[in-house]
Amino acid sequence: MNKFIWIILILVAITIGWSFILFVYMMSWSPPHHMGMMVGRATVYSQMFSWLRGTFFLIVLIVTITLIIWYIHDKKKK
Amino acid sequence: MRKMIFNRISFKLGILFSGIFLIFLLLLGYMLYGVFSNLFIDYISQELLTRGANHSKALEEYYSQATLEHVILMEENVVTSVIITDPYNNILVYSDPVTNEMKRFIGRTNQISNNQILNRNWNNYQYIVSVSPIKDGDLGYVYMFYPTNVLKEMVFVLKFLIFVASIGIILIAVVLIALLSSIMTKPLLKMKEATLKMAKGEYIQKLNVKGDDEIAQLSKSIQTLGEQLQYFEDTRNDFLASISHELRTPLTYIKGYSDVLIKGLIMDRGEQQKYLKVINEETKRVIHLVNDLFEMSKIQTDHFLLNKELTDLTTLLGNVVQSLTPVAEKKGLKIIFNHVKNISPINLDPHRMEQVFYNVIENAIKYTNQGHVKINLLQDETTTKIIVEDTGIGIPEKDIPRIWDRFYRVEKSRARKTGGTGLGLYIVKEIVRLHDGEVYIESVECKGTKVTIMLRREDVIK
Ligand SMILES: Nc1ncnc2c1ncn2[C@@H]1O[C@H](COP(=O)(O)OP(=O)(O)OP(=O)(O)O)[C@@H](O)[C@H]1O
Ligand SMILES: [Mg+2]
Repeated sequence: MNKFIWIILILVAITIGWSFILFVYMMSWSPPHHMGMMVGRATVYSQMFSWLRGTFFLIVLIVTITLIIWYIHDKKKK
Repeated sequence: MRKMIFNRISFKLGILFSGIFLIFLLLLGYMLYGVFSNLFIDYISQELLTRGANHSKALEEYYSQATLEHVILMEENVVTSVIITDPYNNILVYSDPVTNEMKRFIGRTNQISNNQILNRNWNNYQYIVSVSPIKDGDLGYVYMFYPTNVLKEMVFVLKFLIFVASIGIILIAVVLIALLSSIMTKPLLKMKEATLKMAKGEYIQKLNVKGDDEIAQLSKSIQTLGEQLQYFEDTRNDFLASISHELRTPLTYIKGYSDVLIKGLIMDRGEQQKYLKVINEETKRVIHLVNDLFEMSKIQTDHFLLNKELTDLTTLLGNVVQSLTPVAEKKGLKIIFNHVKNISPINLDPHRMEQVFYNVIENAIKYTNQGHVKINLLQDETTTKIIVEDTGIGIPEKDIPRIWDRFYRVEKSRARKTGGTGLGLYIVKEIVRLHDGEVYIESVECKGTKVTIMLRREDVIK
């Protein structure tokens, strides 16, 4: 049980990490705004929030999948 | 359990590596920030300067109200603003409303005849400012302003992106470092468990550690240690059993015979003599055993000092052979002692060496049922060799490496008959080692055994 909590924590941390890195990568190499990076803080914030929403759903997906695997694993043991 | 996590080596390693990593990442982030923000400012100031210079050139060529208006028109609807003054710094025209801060930069330029940046401090002022004189200031000045709030916004985005990227990198790095350090220290935890079990008496531990690094080597050593401990445990029990057996037999004899003598049942003088002789023999056996034990414990506690003196080996070996001849003869064995002439004396502890020879020759006699025991004494420039050969039962090949161990005796059943503790060869090896010599054994089962002792001739070496 302990093990799965660790696995979930690790997966979440890695997902957030990659998502942050990808966000910066996207902002600098193919910015969604026509003005590129010269958009001011408000626009960057809103970009970030919509990106984070995507990440959040991804995390929810990953956590559910892990929980399902955990559940199956637990059942097999019994 | 929860508290223990902070005490773990993996945790400490993780914190250490993450800390180092973090420091360098912060350094890198700060450097990137410095490089890019300064590049921005440089780029913008240069741009401002060129544009100001162009305006002033245009005005220099054709100075009129129309040209002035044209310049103002060019600067409308862009981020930059322009103000043009007459030679006495009175504002003639401007593209955007003139603020107080703008006015503070005007009029500082009386002596200036070059294009130049008046302010590039974007943190504390609202504008980056450049000035270009028209005809060296005779016709007036062109002031260019770039609002720093735009810049601040850009720098903020830069900072923000660096920050976000750093957080991402830190998250991934910390996870990786944590995983790696826990993987790296896992074998250590296993070893800890194993040694704890060993302390409780489960000596044999299986540790499957892959690789050949220091940690793998350590775990191998722990395994060998456990096997060795198990072996000692086993041999100690055997040893105690055989010691008590060895002691009981002669002591029973001694008690029995002395009882008879005390009761005065035997009057015949010859008969009494015989009984006393048995008692004497058995006492010798006990003494031999106790001496062996004593030697062994001395060797093990390192209180074993050698009393070296120049010794004639021929005499020393001769004495041993002589004292053992009756034993050999009793078994019907021939004992042959060959030696070259003029063996020069060598530096050794005669008392200990005598014991070495005694043990080896005694073994040869003990483990030979028919044939002979041959002792050869040879010497060349550097070494003295003592070779003891017998035609006895020999030693199985798999046992040869172990016969030097304490208490090791080949095959209990065959050893029981002959008696002994298995200390003899251990003492031989240790004493020879203390003399810087070498001893080895060659043996073929049922054919015979050959023991070679090599001693260095120190007189030659010196
Ligand atoms: N010359 C030999 N021929 C055959 N086996 C031998 C010979 N020398 C030693 N061994 C074997 O090696 C074992 C160890 O010898 P070691 O001298 O250490 O012990 P031991 O003779 O049994 O007892 P002790 O302590 O009384 O000498 C013996 O038990 C014996 O089986
Ligand atoms: Mg012996």
